[in-house]
Amino acid sequence: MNTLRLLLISLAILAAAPAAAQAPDYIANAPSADQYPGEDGLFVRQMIRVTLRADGVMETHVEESLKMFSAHLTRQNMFDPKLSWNAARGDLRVDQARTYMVDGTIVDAAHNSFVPNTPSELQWAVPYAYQRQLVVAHVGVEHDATSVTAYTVTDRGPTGLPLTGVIDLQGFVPILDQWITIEVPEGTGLWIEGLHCAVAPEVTTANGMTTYTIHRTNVPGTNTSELPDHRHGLDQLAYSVIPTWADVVNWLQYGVEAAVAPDEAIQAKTAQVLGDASFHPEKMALLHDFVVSGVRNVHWPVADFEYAARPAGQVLDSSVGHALDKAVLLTSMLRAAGFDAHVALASSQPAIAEGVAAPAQFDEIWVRVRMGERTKWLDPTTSANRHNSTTLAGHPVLVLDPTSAGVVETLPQIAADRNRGAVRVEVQVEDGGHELTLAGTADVDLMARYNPLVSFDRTAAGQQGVARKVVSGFGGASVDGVFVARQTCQLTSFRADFSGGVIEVPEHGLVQLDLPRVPGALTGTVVQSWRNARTETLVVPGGPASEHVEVAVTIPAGYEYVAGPSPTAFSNAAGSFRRDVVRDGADLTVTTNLVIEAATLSPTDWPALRALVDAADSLTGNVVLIQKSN
Amino acid sequence: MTRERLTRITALLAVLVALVAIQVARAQEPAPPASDDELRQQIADAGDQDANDGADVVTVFKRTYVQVEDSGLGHIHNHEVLKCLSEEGAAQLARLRLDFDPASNVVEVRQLRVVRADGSIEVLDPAPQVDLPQPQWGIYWGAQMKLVPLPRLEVGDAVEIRTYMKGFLIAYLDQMQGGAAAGGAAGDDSRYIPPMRGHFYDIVYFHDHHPVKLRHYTVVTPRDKPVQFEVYNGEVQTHVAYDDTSLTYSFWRTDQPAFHEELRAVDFPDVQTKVVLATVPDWQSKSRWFCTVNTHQFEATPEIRAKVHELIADLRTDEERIAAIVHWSADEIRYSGISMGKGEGYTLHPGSMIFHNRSGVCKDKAGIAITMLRAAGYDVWPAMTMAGSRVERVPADQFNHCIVALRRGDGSWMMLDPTWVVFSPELWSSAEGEQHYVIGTPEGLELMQTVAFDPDDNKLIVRASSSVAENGALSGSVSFSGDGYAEQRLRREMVHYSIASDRQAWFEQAVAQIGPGARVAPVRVDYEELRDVNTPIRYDVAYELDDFALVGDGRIYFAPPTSRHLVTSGRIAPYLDCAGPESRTQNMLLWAPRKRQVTETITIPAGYTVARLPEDRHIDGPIASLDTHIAVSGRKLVYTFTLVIKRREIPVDQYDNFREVVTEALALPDDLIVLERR
Repeated sequence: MNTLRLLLISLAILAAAPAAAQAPDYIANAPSADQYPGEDGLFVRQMIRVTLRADGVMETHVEESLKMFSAHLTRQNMFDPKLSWNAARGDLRVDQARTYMVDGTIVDAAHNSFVPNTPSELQWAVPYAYQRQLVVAHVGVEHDATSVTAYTVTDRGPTGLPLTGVIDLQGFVPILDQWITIEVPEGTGLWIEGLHCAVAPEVTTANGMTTYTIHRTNVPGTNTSELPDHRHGLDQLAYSVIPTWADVVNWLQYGVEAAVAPDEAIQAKTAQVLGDASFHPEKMALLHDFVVSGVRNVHWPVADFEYAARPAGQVLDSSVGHALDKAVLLTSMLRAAGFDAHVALASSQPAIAEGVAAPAQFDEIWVRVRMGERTKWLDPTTSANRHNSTTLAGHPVLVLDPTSAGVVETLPQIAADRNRGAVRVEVQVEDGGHELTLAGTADVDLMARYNPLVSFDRTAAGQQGVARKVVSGFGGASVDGVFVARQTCQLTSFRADFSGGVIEVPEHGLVQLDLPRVPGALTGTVVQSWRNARTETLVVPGGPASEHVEVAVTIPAGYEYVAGPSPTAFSNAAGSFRRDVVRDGADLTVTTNLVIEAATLSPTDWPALRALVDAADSLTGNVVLIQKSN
Repeated sequence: MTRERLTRITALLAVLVALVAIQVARAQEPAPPASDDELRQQIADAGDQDANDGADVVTVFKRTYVQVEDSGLGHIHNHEVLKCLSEEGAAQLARLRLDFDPASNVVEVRQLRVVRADGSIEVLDPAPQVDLPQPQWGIYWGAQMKLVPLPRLEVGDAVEIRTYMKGFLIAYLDQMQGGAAAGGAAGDDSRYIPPMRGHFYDIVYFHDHHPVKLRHYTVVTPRDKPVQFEVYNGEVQTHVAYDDTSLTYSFWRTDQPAFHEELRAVDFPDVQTKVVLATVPDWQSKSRWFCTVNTHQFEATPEIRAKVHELIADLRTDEERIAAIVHWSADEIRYSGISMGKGEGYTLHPGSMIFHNRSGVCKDKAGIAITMLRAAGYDVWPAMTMAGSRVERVPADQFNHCIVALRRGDGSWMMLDPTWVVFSPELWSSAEGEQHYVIGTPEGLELMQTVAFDPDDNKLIVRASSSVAENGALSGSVSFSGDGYAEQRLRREMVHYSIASDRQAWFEQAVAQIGPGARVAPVRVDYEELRDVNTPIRYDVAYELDDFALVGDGRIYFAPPTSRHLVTSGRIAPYLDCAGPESRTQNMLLWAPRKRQVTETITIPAGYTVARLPEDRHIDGPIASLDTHIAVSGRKLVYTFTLVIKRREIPVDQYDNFREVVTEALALPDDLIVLERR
């Protein structure tokens, strides 16, 4: 309540303050929409100042002046910014919420513009009720108006926490004038590094404080629609007073190890979940599945919780947890079951600014499990079929293992030939008069990123589902039987017999046979291959990979082949593509090989990947036409 | 309406109630558990996950008892038992959430117990509960929620909760998940009395997203406050009784399976079994009330009058003036609602406040439009409507949206919606056909319904010209334009759903439907032209595609490029993605009738003749139709197809026709043109 009272007092003071007589020069003279064609707005000025005072208190001050060029900004709620802060630690003060209208009118937000809010992600999280949010609903917003939001978050006292964090330096709105300032007491080490961009701070010292200032102008807007999550790949700034990653491990593992220690409730629940399972992979899968689905996810950056982990027993009892809490619970249960498990920080991006020990660069929390020589990676928020060791290939991780060296480790990228999907189908086509019937066999090998069945499962339901996807394109054929050759977290390999496919033969007698792609193929939809050009670097989903499809069709008597895929082969900066077509009487075999060698692609190399994916998706490459003879 | 007439109606209703009470056979009304042993038995009888179709949670029972005072103030007692059927169910029951609006109601947790699977009972301290703001987006009225954490439940455990709530919920708030800001004095019940003083209403639903073994609802009103009620979308058992001081109405239903919404289904109030009940005698009373509470909201300030003058001074017709004001309200008032305090949720903000703030929600956009139209001399009134589902005959508050009604000289009404015509040439969105509304006027008006729109009002027009080369390459151009709702959607694709620097990708994605690898020339999109809704927009796209047609043995095989539909976004063509299931149990809502009109001229390479053309399609049914035709004229093929969805809502019994048309439309690319070298 004290926090709220302070906030209301500050807002009352703010609302009572008389508006300035006229717009400041930087707003009055700001560029117009004409000067920024193809942009929705402009941050006329953005200032972020982070301060670590000598007494250990931290303060963040943000001031942003946003000019509206198109209504897209209102659709994105950019004039109702939601300010988040940890109320257990500090207070939020709104310093200014003002709009400079086009006719010169200056409108300050009134008391009813400041609305306490709970992010929908936190509505389940009674244990995290201290994470608060305030909506600042600007008034007077119109085209070509500029709204200024300024606020300060200040610790109520020293927290003992290190100054560290990540600042986004870019968004889809260009920034005319950007100031990032970080202040620390003189003599305090501070490490700063840009991610995806170079930064060269100006360093000054005065009054016992050392100030690092980064001033950038004309920062272009980014086409965030090209980026996964509309965010990954943006220019960022990492900063930290923590000297090394080993220090990060020392800091975080202390609290995490205490939280992980299994209590009686954890022991009991672990035993209940495991039942009579004795096979290690099954035990691990059962515990993982329980934590994924039996504890509600709270999707919120764990850095905002200062990496404070709740004891595993509390997480279990509350049935909710953010990624770190769920990782703690999973680690605790795994240890209770005898596994060697540790919490690990992981990055969903393939690169971080490694020179700066800022843990906020890791946006995911996983659990590393060691079983002899083998290492497994478990995401406690997502099923193993969606997120698994393959997902982290080529990504940096930091394991909170007190016995480790405390270094960031980038997990090895999987080579294209080990990251592979292969399908070989033999199709028998029979003439049924007014219809063709299709039957045959499909041999499917799905490795690494293509393997959709990583989680331990004693049933064959998963393979049945995958087989259905492969064969249903053959006239809606159904799977008669699946013979599993190998089912591991590395490889799903099976043969499926299918039958019952039916293609009606029209009166004109021209029939199309569609050729399949590998399940989970790298399609145009996955990489947005419709884009003629990109402006941002592409991180290839799943990394280097290869796909092999071989379809052997016997054309029935009474029909003749009239057209089909053409042989093609080319290679480029992104990989290679080859399609072979062999006709031998009524037998037709089409073999397609797609190899993606690159893990990331610059905008310059984008056309190369596009050419490969488009070749694989090609209209003419995936259909065979046969004609009923007269 | 005179007092005498009101009295007559009240007396009539009382007789009706008595008749109902006599006629409704009293079924075996399930009694609440009389002891903990009975409670344990009911929990056991609710069954396990297998007995509940794999559900994670089951409601053993939910009982609501409402006592209504003379003032209309309701005291609502809920008693509910939820049983955990799986570990996922335990996660779902991590906490209970009770929504309230501090300005109009209060909620308390009176009792919280966990009945463990072994029969033991734990009484929980409800103290750890926290009151937090609800998640808000667009409507910032400070609605609250009470979060009550629960201890970990095991499979077979149940949680019993008794709550007490006093006050009322505005239907509009309930729909929008909003709430009013704090108001009224603490300890004073006045703020909980419904704004339509003396009256009570409620809408009781009997389904949930998990199975419900028993839903029971009782409302007790003063003897002189009879309730009109009606049951919709299913059957409910009913019991009505009275004594000297009160009337008692009970409704219950047992063994409800989980409610699962089908793709693009009508809103749940049109599907789920519900009882709508109200003490308000008729819609005219509601109309007069709505008019009265908003009487003083539409005073124009000198600044507003000046803006009105600026907008309409040079316009000659009423249509132009009305359009100018409505479009200004639509496009210059940002959708962002802050609370004005007392009266929030059911009164419109004063016009002067909206003009100053340049922001508001639907009722505020309506409010500024009314203020400005009145300043311009028009006879306009606020109106309530329900976007997306029916308003039932019983005059309970069933509205989620506010609009404007303009009375023409001949007394007829013209409906205007400044919220739904953002970036639209329309003044009343054609996504709001056949929609119920009540206009607030001094004389009081009945519930009315807007007319149905015609598919021609919402036409997506695709015109294309293309040339097929001998090697199978394709080049051409395609233009996209539209009428009515389709026109608005085309504009909003550029403004609302694309960042400005990514608009080109929209066209690239459309052309990619023709075939991967297309090269698309830069498309000119001008934001000022998008804002000018008086001038139709058209997007012209030129493209080239190397790998389009199959070539073999002197023949070329391809489908007409536009047969691949190109614009497939659910925002423009929702009908394309929902014809998969063989049957449906819920009507489908596509918001507007629609037409897709495609014309394409295809030039074939010199030296080739047409060996085969796709067959013409003519499917016509009560809800949808498809007509395709292709004709040859020298080296030109002229391909046309028209797909029509005739109604905004697809009834279950006409889904077959809809599915046939859409399935056939999606299969058009399978029917090939064959060219043969001469």
